Amino acid sequence: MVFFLLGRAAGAIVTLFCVSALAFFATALAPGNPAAVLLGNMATPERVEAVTRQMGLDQPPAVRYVIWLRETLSGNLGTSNLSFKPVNELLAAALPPTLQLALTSMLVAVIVAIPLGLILAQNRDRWWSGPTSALVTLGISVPGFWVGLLLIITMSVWLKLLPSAGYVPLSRSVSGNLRSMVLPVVTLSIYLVPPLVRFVRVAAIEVLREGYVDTARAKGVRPSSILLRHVAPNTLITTITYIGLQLGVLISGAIVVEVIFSIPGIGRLGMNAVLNRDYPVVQGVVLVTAAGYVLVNLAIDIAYAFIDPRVRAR
Amino acid sequence: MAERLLNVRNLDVVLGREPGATTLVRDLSFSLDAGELLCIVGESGCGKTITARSVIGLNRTDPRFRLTGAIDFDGRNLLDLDERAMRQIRGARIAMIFQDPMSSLNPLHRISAQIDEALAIHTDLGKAARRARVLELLAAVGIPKPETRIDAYPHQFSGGMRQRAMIALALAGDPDLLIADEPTTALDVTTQKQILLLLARLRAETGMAVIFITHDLGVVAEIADRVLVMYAGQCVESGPVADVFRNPQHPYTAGLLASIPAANRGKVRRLASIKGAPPVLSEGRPVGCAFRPRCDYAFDRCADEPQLTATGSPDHPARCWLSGAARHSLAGQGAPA
Ligand SMILES: Nc1ncnc2c1ncn2[C@@H]1O[C@H](COP(=O)(O)OP(=O)(O)OP(=O)(O)O)[C@@H](O)[C@H]1O
Ligand SMILES: [Mg+2]
Repeated sequence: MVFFLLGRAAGAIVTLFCVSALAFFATALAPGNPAAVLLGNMATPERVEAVTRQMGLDQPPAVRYVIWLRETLSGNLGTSNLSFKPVNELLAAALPPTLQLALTSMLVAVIVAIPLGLILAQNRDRWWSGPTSALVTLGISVPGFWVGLLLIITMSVWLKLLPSAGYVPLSRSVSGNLRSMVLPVVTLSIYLVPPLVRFVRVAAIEVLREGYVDTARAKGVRPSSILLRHVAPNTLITTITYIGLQLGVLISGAIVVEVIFSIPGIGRLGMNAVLNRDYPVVQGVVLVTAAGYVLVNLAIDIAYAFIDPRVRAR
Repeated sequence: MAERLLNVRNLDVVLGREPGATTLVRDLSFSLDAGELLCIVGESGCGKTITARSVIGLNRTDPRFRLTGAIDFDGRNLLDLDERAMRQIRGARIAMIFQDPMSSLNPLHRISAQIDEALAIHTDLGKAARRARVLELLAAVGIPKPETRIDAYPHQFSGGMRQRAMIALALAGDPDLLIADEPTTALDVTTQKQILLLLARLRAETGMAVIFITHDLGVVAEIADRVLVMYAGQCVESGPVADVFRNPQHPYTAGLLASIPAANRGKVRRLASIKGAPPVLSEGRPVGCAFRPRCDYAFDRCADEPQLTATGSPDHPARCWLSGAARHSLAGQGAPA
């Protein structure tokens, strides 16, 4: 198992390197000169050229990558072309809201979707199971931003229950923080819940056909215990893989939600950076996102080993 | 007549709803005394597994199946019991082991936990006592050094060991009836033999009755007290094993007997097999006797469905229109000359 995890960790590091190269070259080779963007329309060509050289943009991309990688590894992600603040600082400020939003939403989604999927699977022959599953499928095709706007209109504009935008840091006010997070978390969860319910339901139906479920029933185990002790853990094995894959949905959903609810998180930071060709910030955002992705998948591998003795044996 | 342990009367198992419903088991009756070993034989798809699952009630909550008739067990009709009462019987008074030991144990739970689960449900034993009992059971099914294997996971066991663990699990509730559905089919030949001997020994030690499902008539000859021959979801013949083997009363039984390899019979004979294939029940059942299309003895009466009727020998009914004299020629013949 130690080897299994070491292997996965090595894989994670390789992935991060590849992502770093991708992040760098995708921005470095993109059309448009950041120096020109920085200086605006009024700049003279001489001035643009001078700033280009000053920013090191006249070097060949490979050289720039090596320099950038060295700086990155030593913890220096450069400065924003826009605000001239260190990228580190910008990321550090944007990370807490995003982490809180993403993790809470994932937690809510898991807590809602896994039991629902399991119950739908176990009762797949009941009359209410079909319509409920259909409703869930319908949920997959509802765009998340639309739900978000609907929530803003009803909950904040009409009922004035919750704030429609902005983020209150936990350090400033706990209740304010929670209130500011409710609508974004609900919106982002709605991205995640329907596909997860559908996945869990299908996976659990598969597990319910397994021989050991018959064995458990032949032992006289209660249906609720069969679901909890036998079906749920075996369903979880495939489900955590799926959750890893859903991280992409989570990240893209988080960007939309941060924009809708004006949350100063990584998604909004990255979005603004892309629009303004603020490449150091874009690279930083991509790196942090990729690191998050890789870390979560590493955590999933560890979770595997926890659940499945066959993985532990490797 | 003394109360029998198990008395299945006119059991029908119907799959699906009208129209398009198919009768997988039809008018099946058989009984079993305490401590008796009944073998159910028949070709693939003839309804042996469905019958077994009906007795232990694994398909009673499946809305696709409808079960009618009676399954009297120890004086109570199991089909009348609610699921809660049935759960108290499952694993305690009736236990079952399955064909594929690779999939019948939960890969995520230790062997000890899987046996303990049954003990926790059906006994009042405390934790430590249950663990001692698990060790006892593992020793009883011949797992070497059980104290070192008790906390293993299924993937650490070979197929034969897993089937032994399954048997230990089935014995946990000290059942009166053990249903074994082709428990050796998935195992290699040497292991098959060992598991067979183990089951025979455990049955002698515990006095439990056994329903043993198999394709292998050689095994039947070795272990059975009585045999039930199934064809197309029906019992075509049943009786004491020696009687059925010596005087088969149905051409299908005779055909099965004729297709046992000579080594198992001790006499040298031509290896015959029954022509054609059994009907696929989901495509509808043949009119009249279900075996008629494959039967060398079929005559005009076979267009009507025969009933299970008593034959010359006691406790040996068969479902065939042939006269006693004609049936007499089935013995030792397999297929007509
Ligand atoms: N869950 C099910 N749904 C639909 N048809 C089924 C189901 N279970 C069994 N059948 C059908 O019922 C018939 C009898 O099946 P069963 O499994 O009892 O046969 P069997 O005698 O045990 O065969 P084998 O020797 O191959 O195990 C088969 O034709 C099979 O296709
Ligand atoms: Mg079968």
